[in-house]
Amino acid sequence: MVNVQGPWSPLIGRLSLGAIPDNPIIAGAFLFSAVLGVVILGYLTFGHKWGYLWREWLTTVDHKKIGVMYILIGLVMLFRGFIDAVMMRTQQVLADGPHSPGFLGAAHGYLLPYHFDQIYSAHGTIMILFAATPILVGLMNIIVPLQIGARDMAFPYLNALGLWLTAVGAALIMLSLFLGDFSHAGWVGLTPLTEMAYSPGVGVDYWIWAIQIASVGTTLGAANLIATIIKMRAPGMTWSRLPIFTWTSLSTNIIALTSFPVLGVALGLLGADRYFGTHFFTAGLGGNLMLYADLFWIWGHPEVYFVILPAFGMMSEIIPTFAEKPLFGYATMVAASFAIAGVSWSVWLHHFFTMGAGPSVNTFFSIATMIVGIPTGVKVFNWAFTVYHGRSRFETPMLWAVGALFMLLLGGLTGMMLAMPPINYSVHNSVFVVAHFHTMLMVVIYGIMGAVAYWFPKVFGFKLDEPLGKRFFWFFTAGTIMVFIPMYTSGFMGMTRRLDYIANPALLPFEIAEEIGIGLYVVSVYYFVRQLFVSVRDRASHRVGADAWGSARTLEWLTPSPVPFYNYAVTPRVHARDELVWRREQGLEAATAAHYEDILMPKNTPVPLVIGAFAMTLGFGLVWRIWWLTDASFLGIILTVIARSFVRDTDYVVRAGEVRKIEQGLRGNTPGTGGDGTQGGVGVWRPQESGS
Amino acid sequence: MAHDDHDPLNHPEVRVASGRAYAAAFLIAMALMTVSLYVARHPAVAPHPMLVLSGVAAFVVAVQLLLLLKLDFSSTQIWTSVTFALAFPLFVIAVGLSLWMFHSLDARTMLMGLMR
Amino acid sequence: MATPSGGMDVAADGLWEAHYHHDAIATRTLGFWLYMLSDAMIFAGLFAAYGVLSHHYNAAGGPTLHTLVQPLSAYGETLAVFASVLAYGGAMVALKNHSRTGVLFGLGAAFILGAVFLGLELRDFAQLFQAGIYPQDSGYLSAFFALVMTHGLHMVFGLLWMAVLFVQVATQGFTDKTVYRLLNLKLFWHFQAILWVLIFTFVDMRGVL
Repeated sequence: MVNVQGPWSPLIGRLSLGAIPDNPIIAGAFLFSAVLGVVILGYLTFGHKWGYLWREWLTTVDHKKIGVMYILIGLVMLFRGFIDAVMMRTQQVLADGPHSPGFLGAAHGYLLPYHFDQIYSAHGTIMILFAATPILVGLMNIIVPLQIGARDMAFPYLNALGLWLTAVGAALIMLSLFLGDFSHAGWVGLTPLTEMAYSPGVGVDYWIWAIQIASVGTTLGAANLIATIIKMRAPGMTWSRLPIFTWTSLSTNIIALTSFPVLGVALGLLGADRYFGTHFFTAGLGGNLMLYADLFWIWGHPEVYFVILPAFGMMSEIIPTFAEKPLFGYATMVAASFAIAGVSWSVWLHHFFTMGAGPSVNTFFSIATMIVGIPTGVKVFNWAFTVYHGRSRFETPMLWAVGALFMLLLGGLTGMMLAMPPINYSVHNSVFVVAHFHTMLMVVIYGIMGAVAYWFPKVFGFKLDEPLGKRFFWFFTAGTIMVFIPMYTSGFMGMTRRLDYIANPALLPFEIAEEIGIGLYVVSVYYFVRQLFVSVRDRASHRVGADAWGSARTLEWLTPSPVPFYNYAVTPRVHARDELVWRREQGLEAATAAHYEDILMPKNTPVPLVIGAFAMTLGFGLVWRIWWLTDASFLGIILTVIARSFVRDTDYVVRAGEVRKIEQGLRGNTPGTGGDGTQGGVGVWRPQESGS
Repeated sequence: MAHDDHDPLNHPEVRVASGRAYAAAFLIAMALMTVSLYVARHPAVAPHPMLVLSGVAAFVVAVQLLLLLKLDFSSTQIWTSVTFALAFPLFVIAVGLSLWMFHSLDARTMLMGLMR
Repeated sequence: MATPSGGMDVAADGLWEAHYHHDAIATRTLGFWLYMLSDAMIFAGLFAAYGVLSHHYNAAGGPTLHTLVQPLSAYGETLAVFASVLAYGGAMVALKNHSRTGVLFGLGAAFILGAVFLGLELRDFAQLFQAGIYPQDSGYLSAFFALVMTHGLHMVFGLLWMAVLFVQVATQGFTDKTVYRLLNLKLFWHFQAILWVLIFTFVDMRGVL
């Protein structure tokens, strides 16, 4: 084991009172979290909700509830990452030029350089791995089994395990805010900066273990989803009838399954350097620090497509629904998804063109990068032709989908510029690059926001409020333009990224514009929260039937909204690519099965939660080097897994009579009746209603 | 599952087991690994010993995939084969392109000279 | 066709598929095979690291492969791995023939041979440590140990799994769960043998050259 700086004891490792930061900003964040925590705990305790929480959520293996929890984690982390963004923008607008003022002990601006470094590292790590990834995984979790007519995922227990491991990763990052510090080496963890010699604190360790534990969850989830799509399709759901979102989920999870292990290796070897004193990425003794960049980006680039392909899938579902036309070019859409996934594996060097590999290597990776533009272009034209001669209705999901299209155009074109090594050399490490990949990630965010609005009624049985949703969209879009267009410009003017102090006062106007942009984002977040609040409050008037939009096309809109826990009372037989359209044309839209049958469902289990708890103590012990705790937690995980393997009775039967009763209750739940029958669905609001 | 009236031992993936395939895989693999050992200790017998060793290894891996893991296009194994065919190139790409880029980097930063 | 209440006769229209069941065992084995493919990518990362770090200058003047590997010991380990796989194959054939004792016998033999492999490998490591050769000495040694030890760690978990499964087959017989676990462990165990071929060739034999 490597000797660490500062005190260490066998009992509590590196923990000490000094680990609690004494920064007023963090104290404010702590106060906010503590108050929120107390309110939630108080509600659970005095509202007698613990039993409900335990039965319906913490021990559930229902793919819809797991998906909802994934999305909740993602939204909380999205909020955290957004606060980080506000802080960075504010620092940069304040710390501009030698005469800029300093507050809270900082020479310029209000953040000390080390604190600022942690903020941008946390922002990147959180937004990619703990906001975008969980929300996408959550949406795939909810929608894919419904789209293919399955009762649940192939491995419901594993699905819950993946959720709790992701939650542990998020929890570790949040913990780093109040205990110790976070990595200051950027979200990519530049070596040798992340080595023990240059980062002796616990920040990098938090970063390593948060990602490592969460990515195990993501890998398991990927295997689960691929197996689900291959093996659990309803009869008649042939490959040529598979909805595009399911196709993109398949391609994206192939990426996740094969790329996340390489991230595990990169971080594992870095961890070996930090804990055992090996020399993988050190600057001396035969280490190779660019090897880290290589391994990291072998994962990192496919990860970019891992987040963007589902967004493409979402757009491919939303646009035909609101253009009231079948998707143009189904086969090319599928081929393009797999082409993007395939090419994503041979472009990773473009993240470090300036490493100095030979011209042949750079040319290979440059051309491979540009090739990505071909399938992406195919997709853009397919969406455009879908809208062409359609009857487009610009409801909120459609607005987001069209917005995503424009973001893709802007991000894709700047990406083409960056794919050329000569341009790349000159704008490398500038905020032009930052603006480019944020535009690309906006495609993901727009896709996600559209998908949330689009599928929300499917999961909860009522729509989100339209006027507020539109305000949210327009303020968000205005913010995006105001932040990132100036950022492209200042990047061209030579502004490098990750600056806590900007020496050139000529850049101030751009920083001011970006600050206004982030202000618009703040307004948009207000409308988002208000939209959620108003929609839940007025849910009785927002109720929808099975087909929430009246023009939906795919199978998931066949089953009632909210979806009962068994998804389909009887497994549907699929006849067409757009099954719902087919049934509508045949006049069979409202047809229900006349006979119900017994359904075999997986039982709830607390085991994934227990393993998650052990993973949490394992991660905590590793960060603070408390070896007895790590050993005990690791042993706990292994023993729990073995004990679970001896449990033989993991399923139960829902009787046909019961299914009939639930179905009849749900079918009465249409807009006209104003009924609140949420039997069986994701009954978030049920206990509240039964109490009133 | 408590209510199964079917016998899991009749599953096609259980029926696929074959003693002859296992014995053949063992003998072929062991024989070829012996050849590898011989070539490695007496490199003069082949012009490019590392190339020969790589070829032998690739052959043994193929034999094991076919005889032990039974990768083929039957309805039982088709998805095993397809997913393998999708993932295998990624293994090659990850290792191959890494080696290539660092070979190029080392050549240009003159680290190769340090080998001597 | 549709009645006013929306109810339809299942048999008449084929809109629904009654009593539809998935092949649970095939789903399980496919899921586990997918996990094995992702596991293979861990080795891809380690092989890439080993390939990049196994130049003379990465050894920082310390020992290189030639002093690290013992060809005969590695050959013995190869024999143990392949024999263990053969024994596991015996268990698979016994499973096909409904023989519980045969499966237990095969599992037991595969376990012992796997333990022999690990014993040989640990002896190699012990000899290296005695000679004062540690993973911390150079990038070269770090990469070498990481690759070989990760494979060894997989073998340890395989043996643990085999022991648990031995108890389950002995006490529960052939249920859906034990059968798919036997099939999954087969995938795992055979996959480790395949990886060992690569390690034997590109680490041990390359070192002998």
